[in-house]
Amino acid sequence: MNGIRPVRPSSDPSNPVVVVGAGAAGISCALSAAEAGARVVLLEKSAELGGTVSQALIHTLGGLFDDQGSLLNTGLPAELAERLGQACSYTKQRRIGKTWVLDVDPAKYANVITDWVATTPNIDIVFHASVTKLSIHAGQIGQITISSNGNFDSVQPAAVVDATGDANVVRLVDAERVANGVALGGVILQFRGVATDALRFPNGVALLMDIRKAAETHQLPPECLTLWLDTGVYPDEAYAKFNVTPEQYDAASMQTAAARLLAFLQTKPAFGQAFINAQGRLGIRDGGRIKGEYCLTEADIKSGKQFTDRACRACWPIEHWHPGKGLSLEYLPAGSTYDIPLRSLKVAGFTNLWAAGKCLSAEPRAQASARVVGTCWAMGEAVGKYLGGNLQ
Amino acid sequence: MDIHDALRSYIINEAFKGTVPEGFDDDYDLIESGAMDSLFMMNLITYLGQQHQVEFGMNDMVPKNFKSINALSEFSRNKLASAQ
Ligand SMILES: Cc1cc2nc3c(=O)[nH]c(=O)nc-3n(C[C@H](O)[C@H](O)[C@H](O)COP(=O)(O)OP(=O)(O)OC[C@H]3O[C@@H](n4cnc5c(N)ncnc54)[C@H](O)[C@@H]3O)c2cc1C
Repeated sequence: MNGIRPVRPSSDPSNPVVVVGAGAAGISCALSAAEAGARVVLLEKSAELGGTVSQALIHTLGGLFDDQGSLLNTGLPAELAERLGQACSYTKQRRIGKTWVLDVDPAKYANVITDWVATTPNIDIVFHASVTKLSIHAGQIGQITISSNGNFDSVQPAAVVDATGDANVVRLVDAERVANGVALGGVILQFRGVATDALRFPNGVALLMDIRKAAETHQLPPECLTLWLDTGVYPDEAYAKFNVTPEQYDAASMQTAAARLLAFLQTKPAFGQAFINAQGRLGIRDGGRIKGEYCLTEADIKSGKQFTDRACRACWPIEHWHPGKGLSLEYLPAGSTYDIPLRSLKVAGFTNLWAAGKCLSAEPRAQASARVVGTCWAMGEAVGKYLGGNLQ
Repeated sequence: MDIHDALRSYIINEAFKGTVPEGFDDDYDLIESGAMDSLFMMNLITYLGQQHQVEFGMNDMVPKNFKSINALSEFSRNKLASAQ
């Protein structure tokens, strides 16, 4: 891949910031640390950049705007929105209920960030990578061992940032420092060939009611009982989101459910020509949160709490996907925003172990607001900037 | 409770968590204000069906029926009357 170099830990005297996970938070952390002058090693377990957005086909980026539609955080989240707009003329800001999102094509998103990282100096990426061992001394991460495609390498990091989404690095250090995830996951289908405005509000709700009735009468499989539909970025695009309990996920029955849903939709005039263009991988909303120096609470976010060590601002509603009760959406008071403190991104008891993104230190209902993509970008940027600045 | 009052209290409690915005009345535009998002609309339709036997057909899913408390209660009353 152009501009992406293999890791060369021994050739550079300065200890790198090691960012683990190249999703929203990891990418922005790597970019900002590198821009602040640090050498960055970015480790990604898969073969691509983008994380949940590209893997699970997230197409409505939340957390970029306040409830008036103005940018919440300047810096990299704003630059991301601009780059996405330049890369695809269909990228657009849209109001959903009382929130604002950026409608994007997840494939374009992956291209944009891949180019961005490739043209930013000082970032070494290792794909198919995982951290296999970390040495710890007096609350400090020392040597870390990285495996990639059967090869092992070791790095002496200045700091380690767990941006794995699931707190996988912190789990390896000390499983007691991770609170287990408690939320439904999801599988998203991308349809093309759909008639324009097929799902325009409130048409989509009518179709959803129809799908639910069909699922109740066993015309459609039970996976469709709690299905959600959304418009896409292109006029002929639509998305369907299945709710999934991650522990019970079965790829084969999801495949069958997807095929039956398509057949059902094709009986509707607006979906007569529709086809499945892409199927996302299982997306995890809450795969575990670190126990940080501060745990962001539901009360903090509802009261619009401000912190002197603000990493970023956020205001997404509490979008809680309860494993038993399903989705509930609780808006924060009109006009209110809250801060995410840097301390909720720093693992308690360690001097150089950080986290960014959906595995921040937060109560489950606070994470249900803070995990949206724009906020993950803002968290990652704050950690990267802090580390880059402090290492100089 | 009359369907109008029931709708009013359901909407105030569920969409506004008991605290209504300034200028709120029975003609308050629920769609324009963002209160009537897709999720709330689904929940409202389920509530009206289960608690008040108001059934929505495909042709009833138009913005004008969901615009305000008054619009919803007029729609519901007409539905109930025509079902009798
Ligand atoms: C079904 C679903 C729908 C959603 N819908 C929306 C939405 O509409 N709008 C919105 O804004 N947000 C949405 N979200 C939430 C949002 O997508 C995520 O919270 C956010 O993208 C998380 O970003 P992240 O950087 O924290 O983690 P991720 O994007 O998950 O990135 C983590 C990366 O780390 C890698 N990794 C994991 N473990 C290791 C390891 N041990 N070593 C190396 N690499 C590793 C992964 O491969 C991945 O690339 C949704 C989430 C789900 C699951």
